[in-house]
Amino acid sequence: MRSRRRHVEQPLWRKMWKIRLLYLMVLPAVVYFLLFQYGPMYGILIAFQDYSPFRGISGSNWVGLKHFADLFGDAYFYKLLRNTLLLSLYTLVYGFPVPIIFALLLNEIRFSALKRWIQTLSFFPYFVSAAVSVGILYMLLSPQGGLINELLNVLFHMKPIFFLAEPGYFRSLYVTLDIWKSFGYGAIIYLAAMTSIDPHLYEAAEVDGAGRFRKMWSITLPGIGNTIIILFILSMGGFLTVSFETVLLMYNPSLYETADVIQTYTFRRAFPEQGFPNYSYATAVNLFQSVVALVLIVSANYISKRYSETHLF
Amino acid sequence: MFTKGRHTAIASFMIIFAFLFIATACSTDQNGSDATAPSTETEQPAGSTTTNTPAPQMEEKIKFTYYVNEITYNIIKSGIQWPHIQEAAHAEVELVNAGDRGQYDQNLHLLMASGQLPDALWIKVALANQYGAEGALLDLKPLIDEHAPNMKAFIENDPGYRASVTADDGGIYSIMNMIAAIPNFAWYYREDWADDLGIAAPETLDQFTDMLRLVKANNPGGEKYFYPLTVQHYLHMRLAFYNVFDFAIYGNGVEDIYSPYFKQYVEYLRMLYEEELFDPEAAKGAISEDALKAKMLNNNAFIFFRATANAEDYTNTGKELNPAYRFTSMPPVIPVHGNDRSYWIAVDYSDSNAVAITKDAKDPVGIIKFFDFFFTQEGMDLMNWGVEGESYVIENGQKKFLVSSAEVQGGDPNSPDPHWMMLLQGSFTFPGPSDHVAWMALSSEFQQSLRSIFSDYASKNPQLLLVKGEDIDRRAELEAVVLPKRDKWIVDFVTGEKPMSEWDAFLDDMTASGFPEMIEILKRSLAN
Repeated sequence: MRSRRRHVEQPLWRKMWKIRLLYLMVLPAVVYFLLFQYGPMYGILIAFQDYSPFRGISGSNWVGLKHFADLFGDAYFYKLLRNTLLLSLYTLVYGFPVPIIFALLLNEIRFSALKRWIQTLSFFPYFVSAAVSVGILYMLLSPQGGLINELLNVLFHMKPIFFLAEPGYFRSLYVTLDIWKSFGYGAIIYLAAMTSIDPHLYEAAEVDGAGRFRKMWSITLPGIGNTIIILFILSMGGFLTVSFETVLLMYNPSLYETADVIQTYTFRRAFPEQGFPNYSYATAVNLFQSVVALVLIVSANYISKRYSETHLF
Repeated sequence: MFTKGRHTAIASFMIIFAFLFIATACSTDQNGSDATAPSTETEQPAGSTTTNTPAPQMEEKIKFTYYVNEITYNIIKSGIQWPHIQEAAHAEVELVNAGDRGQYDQNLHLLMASGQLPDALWIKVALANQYGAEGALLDLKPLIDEHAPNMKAFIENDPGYRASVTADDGGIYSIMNMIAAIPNFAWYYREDWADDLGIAAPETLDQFTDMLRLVKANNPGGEKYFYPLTVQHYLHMRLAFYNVFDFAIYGNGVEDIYSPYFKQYVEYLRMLYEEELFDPEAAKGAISEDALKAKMLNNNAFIFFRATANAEDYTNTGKELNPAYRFTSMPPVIPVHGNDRSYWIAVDYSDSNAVAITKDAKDPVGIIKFFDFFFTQEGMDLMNWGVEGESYVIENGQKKFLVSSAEVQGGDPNSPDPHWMMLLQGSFTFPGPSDHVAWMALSSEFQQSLRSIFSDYASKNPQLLLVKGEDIDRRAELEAVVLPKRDKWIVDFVTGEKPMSEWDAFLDDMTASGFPEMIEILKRSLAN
């Protein structure tokens, strides 16, 4: 007769003590997050105050939801919201697939030195500042000697187009600039994910007569599917956020119709040339954006959990 | 799970990591001060060489810290007259560089939040009034009344200045710096082209328009892309034409859009655009300062409206490629509605540059006495003329500069070499009246020659805008929405995107957005 050993549940502290060195290893990161990420969240209170740096959080007057009421009660806000959402949507729809496609194509290059060169070159725009990249754009698109207009004139005898003064072009230019800056950086993550795909799958597919694109579609793409889903969920968090610097540098009176977004309006409103900065209003707007981002991430994660095996949390 | 060897290795790693973490967090610079603190420099006064009448000697030197932005710091620290100023005012000032202009404002708010205030600081008047009301800054009124007789006399004799520095609660929390508002903004056009085409300076608006047409037809520069008239900003257009068409502007940014004369002005710009006389990029508001300069240098434009320094800059640069390249100016054209011709001019006060004394100042009486020095003749001379015998001499009772404009403006504020840059930077350094004669005398010959053309036409009523109290926030709220809308409508009218028949719709949209309220705020804020 076999004796049964009763499984005795160890106390939590004993379990923790057993792996104390692991806890010790993670302690600096925990301290960092507590001090610099969670601790400052107390400052969210200023969204509900009439904050003054001198008076501090504890000394500033409490105004409740006044700033949120100002924000949502402003008829102009909904136009800003529309512009922001459209810009984010276009960036997501057109910008999200580009690093994936680029990574898939790059992965097919057999000549490794060339592959490395292309990857390195594609990464450079990420380090170019918004001011420089918008400056380059101005030079390229200038109606007065800009390369694009010169080509249009030579090839099609077209009159100069003021791309940066036509509201219809703004979103396309913004998305193009964003893709140019970020596709190389984004591709790195997918390329890293591709290294974890079992090479035997490719051999088996080769034996079955699969061509290059077939293998890409049936092996590589599903192989990085989890990564794509995770990054898509994360990208939902930035849905109400656009690149403020880029928009600020690009927009002018002709473009306000399409280029004026929540962040640029908040910047004008909260940090006027004259007068006292309104940190509370800016924080309230930011809090609104953060709440929306949280809702979107949770929703996307829920949908992903329900229909696939991949989810963030 | 862990062998003893691994145990030791991990523990060692953690100890080293913790040490590095702590060492990094507590890092200091070589001098032992906090690495994040702004740099400081204590200026030691030189032996007295001034021939000015010294300020009354006090028992002890006035010592205080003065928190300034980078420009101010660099201008003062190597200024040749700085030791003389400290000697004459019997002071020892520790300058604290708190970052460039953009960073300075942020650092100022952080400073307020930290509670570690210096003795005195450089600040905008609106911020000073806010922080003063909260108790961060001292009310200077009692100090001025008792210890700053020169400053007090100046304030009492200048109602505009007094109104500018007085907060809503009646206190004075800052002393405004001053600039010498000399005639500056005018039309500048290519004199070499005008000579070749036989063009004289236009007197009327029709002559002005005909001049543009003539230049357009001839295209002296031979460039494919050529539009005679360009500006960097619609603001400059408004300043150029508000008097010509006689519509009101408030401050320098907001106009009375409800005036029929404003509509007339917009129709005029539209006509210029349709005839390809007005640069489309400028018309769409899509032009930067560098782009404006490039257009002038590349012969893409003939005339612009801005400051004398721009005309000089373009001339000096253009001459390197084309010796004949030069700009000249013109008087304002005769207004169409019979009012007096004039160009816009700023006021002498710079409400973006003021000095304040904080609640933590150890010697507020001494500090106010130091700033009072700049309202004495000796102080004004040191600030505006420099050191007698070194930067100027007195001939036949008149002061005459020994240093040239190029010498003064060519100084490098980042170099430790002594310079005279303080002479032109009163608004950035210390409060005290500016001397218009000194400013004009220190302008280059070229600038003086340009100004002589139109200086008689400078507006006699420069506007002083004092927005206070709740109007400050309300103005910011309205401007954030209304001004971009206005700009968009104007651009659309000028470029033909919208027909002039929609003018009433424009006014209705502006009314619904709060434009009338904004005008009322600005009207209330006009101090003169």
